[in-house]
Amino acid sequence: MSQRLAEFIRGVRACRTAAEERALVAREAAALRTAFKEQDNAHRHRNVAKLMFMHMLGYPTHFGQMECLKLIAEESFADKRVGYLSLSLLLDERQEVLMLVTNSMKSDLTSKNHFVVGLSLCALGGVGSPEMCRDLASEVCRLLNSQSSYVRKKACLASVRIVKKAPDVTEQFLGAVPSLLNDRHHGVLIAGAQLALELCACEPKEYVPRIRKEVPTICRILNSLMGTGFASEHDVDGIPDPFLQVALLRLLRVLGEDDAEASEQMSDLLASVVSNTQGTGGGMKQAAYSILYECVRTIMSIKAASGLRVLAINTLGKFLGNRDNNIRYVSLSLLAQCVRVDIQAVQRHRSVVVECVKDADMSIRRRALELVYALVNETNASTLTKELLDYLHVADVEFKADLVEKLCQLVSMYAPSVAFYVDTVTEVMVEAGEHIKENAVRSLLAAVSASGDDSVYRHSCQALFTACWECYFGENRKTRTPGSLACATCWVLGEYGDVLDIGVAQANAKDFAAGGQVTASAAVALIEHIVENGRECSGALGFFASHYAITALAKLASRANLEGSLRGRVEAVLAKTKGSSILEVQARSVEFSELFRFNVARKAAFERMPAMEVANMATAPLEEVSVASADGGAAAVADLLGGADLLGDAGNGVGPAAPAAAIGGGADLLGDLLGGGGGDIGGMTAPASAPAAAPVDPLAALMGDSAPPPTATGLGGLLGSEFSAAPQMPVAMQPAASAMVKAFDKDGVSVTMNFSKAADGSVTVAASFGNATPSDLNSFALQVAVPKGITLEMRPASSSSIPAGSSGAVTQTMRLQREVMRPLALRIRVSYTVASTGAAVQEMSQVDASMLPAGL
Amino acid sequence: MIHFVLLVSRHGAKVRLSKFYTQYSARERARIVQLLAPIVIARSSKLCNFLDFRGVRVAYKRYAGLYFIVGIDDGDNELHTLDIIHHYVVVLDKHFGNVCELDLIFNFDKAYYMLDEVLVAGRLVESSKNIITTNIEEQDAEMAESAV
Repeated sequence: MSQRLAEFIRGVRACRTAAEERALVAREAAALRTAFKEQDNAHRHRNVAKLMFMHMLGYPTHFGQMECLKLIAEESFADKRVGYLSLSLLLDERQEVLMLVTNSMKSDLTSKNHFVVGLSLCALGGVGSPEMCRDLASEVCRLLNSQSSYVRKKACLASVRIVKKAPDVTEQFLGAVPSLLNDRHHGVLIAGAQLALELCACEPKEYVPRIRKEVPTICRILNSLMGTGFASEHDVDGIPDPFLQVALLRLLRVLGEDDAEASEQMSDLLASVVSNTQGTGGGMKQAAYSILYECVRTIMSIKAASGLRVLAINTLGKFLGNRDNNIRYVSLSLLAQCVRVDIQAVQRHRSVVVECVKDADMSIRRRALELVYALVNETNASTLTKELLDYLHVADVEFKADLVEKLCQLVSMYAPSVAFYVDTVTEVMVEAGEHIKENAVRSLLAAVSASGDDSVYRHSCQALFTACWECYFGENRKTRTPGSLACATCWVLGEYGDVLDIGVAQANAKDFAAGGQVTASAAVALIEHIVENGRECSGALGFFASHYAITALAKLASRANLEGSLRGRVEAVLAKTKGSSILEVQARSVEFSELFRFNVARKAAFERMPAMEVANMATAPLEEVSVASADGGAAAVADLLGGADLLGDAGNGVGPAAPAAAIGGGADLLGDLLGGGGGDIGGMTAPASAPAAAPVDPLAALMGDSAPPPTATGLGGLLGSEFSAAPQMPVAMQPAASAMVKAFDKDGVSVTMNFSKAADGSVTVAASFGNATPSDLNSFALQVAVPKGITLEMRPASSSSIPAGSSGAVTQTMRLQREVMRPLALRIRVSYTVASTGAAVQEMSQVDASMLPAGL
Repeated sequence: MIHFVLLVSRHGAKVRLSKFYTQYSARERARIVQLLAPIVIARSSKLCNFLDFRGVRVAYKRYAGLYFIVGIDDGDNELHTLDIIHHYVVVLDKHFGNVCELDLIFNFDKAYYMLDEVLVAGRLVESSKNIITTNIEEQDAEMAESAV
């Protein structure tokens, strides 16, 4: 015979090491298995109790699941009680064994013993699966009218689970709500209110108006609660049943939302709840606060009269003034809710909130930060930003990431000027550059680029240069310069360094006098320094610093006003970095020095980028794609996109897994144009054969979209022969207006696409379908997916069947509209059935930027 | 609603009771216990009793060497959750008479039975401590009777 439960527990507690405990539990588990196998009925409930204890310690107990079910099926109450408890602990709704228990539960629901009914309801409420809920719904619904209050209250909450898990059988519960809310028993009222809430959440449109009829009833209950009519056994600290009050106030909130009449009905009551609860003495207890908290939330949600709202706001003031941290925490939640209703009232408390951002308690800090974020607008952006920046200097490390993210977001939205934006983010980068997200840097650069203003460029160059220089050589120099700062500095200096004065040539960035005027020569010296030391930058962007730097140098040396003085120097640097151990730097140096031999091509390639579009840069996650399809099979389209990441093209360049084909695109494209002009480039090489070793291009994310890529692998090879043919250059630079591409060609079935660009920048694609097979093709469907930022509008095809041997008989047009200037890319899926054999065929193909002329 | 209730000892973060009202896999449950308990225990008593943990708002309260940890929805009344915890503790106290950790270890099943009288489906079911203790006593008596 096995030992008793208490002995087992004592044994476990006596274990001195984890290994000892494991051994003991393993021994006991083995004994339990044997007992279960031998059908030891006499000790079954004790054994299952041990099993539960093991479960609590975290040991596997699945072998005992069947025993729970056996216990439930027993007659005796002791067995049932242990059985139901173990059911809700050891099993969960996903286990199929659970289905076996439905019948036992059903019969227990009709038991004469109300405790047995209670056990069954409790288990259903805890682990009921959707199927069980559906099977037992009508039984439970019947129990809502039971004689016993014990059964009624538990049936209410079991119903909550049913409503949640099986929303299709909820209708029957609605009828019981009025009688539940008229019950005299507090437990039933609390449970009934929660059932009503769950019903409201389940079918707001239909059920809320019907339950709304009970508002006067609820008000009556709350009124009499505040009187002395109810039994004192429910009191907490002298407050009449806070649990019931909170449950009912919460229900009122849902019922009063967007309904003037109901709001009117409850407003007197809410006012008296506030004044009554506050009146319970000077030092209010927590229970009083939780009622007030709930009540203020309700007032803020319903269509309350202004007087009532003032009362709520004043109450809120009391919350904020409290020294208890819990109360302060919820007051921040309350304020966050008020922001939507009455932002002025919240603005009054702004200084308190800002103080809370600096609180010692992480929970409070987080809430306060969210609130500050909600409070920022154009007028207070600079003050609040400054407050947060000041705090950033002292914030602890784990909080910095949150703070940095919010700061960047809010300056990107509310900065009064681009200069302010640049200054703020620069300071953030200096302070916590390793926490800054790549997209925050990207939107900063986009904002600078979009300003189109030389004074902004100059300011950005100066601010970033100074910050970066300070990090390297300043008095408070850092051991590692933040990568984000280094990248942003290189980018800005590379693009816009020509607005600076040239200044006296500087051999070494160290020689720059702190506080002196930033000159292009100093900029070059600094960038050179980054080229050499880029590897030491910190943060996620640190890796890319030297890549950015080398491009920035090439760009600067190609500007008309700087070329004379800088070209020699930059070429010398390039010559040196050709031997760099960083593959990317090495590759670029080689390519750039080749480019430096061809003045026309170089100037075009290193031109300033066109201004970026801020909104898209800041918000669009570049990997996502928008999809349109003529016949709109969503699942099919998702499937279509499931394969290789064709569409995460140049914009996705920073990810190391960015597809080679897309990045190599610029080169292929240029090469093709040079070779064959803008004509038909059907029969292209498959994208998979594009240079596999194409470099991961960090700049692509920033500039690849809208500018001709500065270079790409493979270009060098082409340049040797093709570029010298100078007369062809204009062809490459002129936008092609249209192109014919064979988008799909397999087994005699082909799709030819004629791309033509309209004046407004949209591209019309006329697809014509060819069928060289001897059989007609039926239910022919073309599905197309495009990258994010391009919207696709598809017209229906002229026919869904393609006659045998036809070419161009069936056509379909679509229109592509680009929000961002990015290379076009299409992924295509063709599906059809062969009429003669009835075989269904599905094929995929893609058209990427390399197959299209540059002008598109 | 309440997603889970955990009772964890301050020393060694041992689980004394754990009940989940929302669907979590065994692995997720284990992770919640393993990760959340140390965070809660490490918090100074001066700080507030709430925190955010993997998208769940957590309210906790310490009674002697035991932490009562409850996971709720964002938007639920945090103070009220502390009231519920206290309500449960009072019920335990009434039943055991000055409850201590050892009572809960050796009568863990009782603790669960009492929790079932306080919470069903993650929601409060009874606000009267007297009714709860009476119900528990009646059921205990019935259990003793049927076990004989």
